[in-house]
Amino acid sequence: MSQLSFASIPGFFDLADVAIAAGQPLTDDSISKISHNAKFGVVRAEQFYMGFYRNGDVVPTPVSPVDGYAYSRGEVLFFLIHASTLSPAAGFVPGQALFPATAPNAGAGSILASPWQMFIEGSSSAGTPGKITVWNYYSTSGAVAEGTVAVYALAQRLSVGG
Amino acid sequence: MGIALYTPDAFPISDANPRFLHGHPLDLLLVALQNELGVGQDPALPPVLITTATNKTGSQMGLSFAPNPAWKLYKIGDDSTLINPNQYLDVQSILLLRDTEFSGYWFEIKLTNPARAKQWLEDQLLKPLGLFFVTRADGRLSLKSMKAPAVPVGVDLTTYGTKPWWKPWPAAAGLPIAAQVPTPVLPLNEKNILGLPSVTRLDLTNAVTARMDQDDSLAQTSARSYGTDMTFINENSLGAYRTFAQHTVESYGLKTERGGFLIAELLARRIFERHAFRAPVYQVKAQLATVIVEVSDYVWLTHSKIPDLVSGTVGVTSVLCEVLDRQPDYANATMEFKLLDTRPIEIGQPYQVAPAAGAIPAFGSATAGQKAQYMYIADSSGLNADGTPGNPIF
Repeated sequence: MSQLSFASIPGFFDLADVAIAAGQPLTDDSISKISHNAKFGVVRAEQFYMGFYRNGDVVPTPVSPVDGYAYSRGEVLFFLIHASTLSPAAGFVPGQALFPATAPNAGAGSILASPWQMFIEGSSSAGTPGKITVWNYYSTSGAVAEGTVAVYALAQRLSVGG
Repeated sequence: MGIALYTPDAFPISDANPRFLHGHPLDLLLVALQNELGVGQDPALPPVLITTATNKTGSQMGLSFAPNPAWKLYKIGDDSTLINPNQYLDVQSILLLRDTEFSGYWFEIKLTNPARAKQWLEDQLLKPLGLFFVTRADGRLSLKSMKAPAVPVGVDLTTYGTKPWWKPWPAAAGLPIAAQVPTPVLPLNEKNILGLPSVTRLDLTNAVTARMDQDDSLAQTSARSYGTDMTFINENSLGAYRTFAQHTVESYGLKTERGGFLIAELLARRIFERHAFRAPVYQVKAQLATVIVEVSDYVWLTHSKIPDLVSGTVGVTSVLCEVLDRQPDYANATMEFKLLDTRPIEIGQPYQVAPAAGAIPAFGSATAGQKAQYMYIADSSGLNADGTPGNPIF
């Protein structure tokens, strides 16, 4: 099986029914718009595996492998899966596909909550959109920035939900 | 589709007071002309001069003009709020273009700098669509598309006869039928042409670059960069002329996800039809009786002494030409025209979508009139069941 690919990025046209109604001339621009709408429908919603991240990393926006469309952050919903209570060890590259080697515990005492906080900042965040927060809570040292998350993305073109 | 936005206020546009424009480019054109520039508004209701307190900051200081509250304002999506008919603007033809050839287009623009209205409207809204302003004989502004107009709804295509209407029309058939054009036309020939017409060619363009997806996160409109560049090249023209002649279109409103690729491709196609092989342009002086011909009309040109640059012979017969320019000379009772030879454009006949309720039979059982009027699906070699060429898409 090979990757679906388009030669160009299709766009959406809200083609008025009257433009292709009975009695209207069938024109190249109408046919082209119908074709683009069909292709756009195929790729409007795409899902991506974004890799592994740690606290403070910024998850980039995905690029479609089908047509090269670069999603804006508002078009993407990110889903975080807690992959480890431990942070990655040295040599980790944010977004790497394979589960990383892990570092020792960063806090003192017992872990009371893991994750204590885990979220990604949205496109309208006043801070840094796409920034990962993942913390544990230890019995002695309290809140500690620590952990590894796997990130998936649900991208939908021409939407503002992310 | 999206939510149309047009966010005027009483203060000049600036980075502190950006203007968001979302909508069909021709709706944005109409709303700018009617609501901002007051085209068609009651002349007794001038714009209102706004003065603001000097303790305001930034762009909100000083004087500005705002629409008169008594003006009739166009609300995008509600065509009943348009001033239509408008004695200064051909609103009906603009709406027709919006709902047919340019149906579904959508531009999104964030402006942080004031702009000169006419220049901005032409560069940002019309040029990417291959449209330009023309002035009708009655003084109204109208739009001319680079694509030939299709047959208006209700015109009986069977009146075209069996010959393609864009081919040289036999004299025995009388005057060509002008049903495919929206305004009156007439034949120009040696009976109404004065002197010897001359012929030149359009400028060469064999590459069109479109720039879109402008990053509007930057405050200054002029400092923004475009995220997407694409260039369309007519290789046959490049091979023939061995010269790279490029035309660039930049638009704040074009977005790839809103069909920027297709819009740019359609524009490139229209430009190449005219400019890739430098379509002939005839300069004709005619009697004043031809004054009824307007820019963007189509006329039929016949003259035995004009060099035919398409066929390489002398003399043209009933060649369909588009009027690019007209100059009346009332003192000498003459008209001067620039006429574009449409043969290189290969304008086809518009065939129609058949109505389901019409119970139009399959090709084999259709009448000659139905075959000449409607689209039929041809075989993979482009032929109908009886071996005749299939009806092409207009």
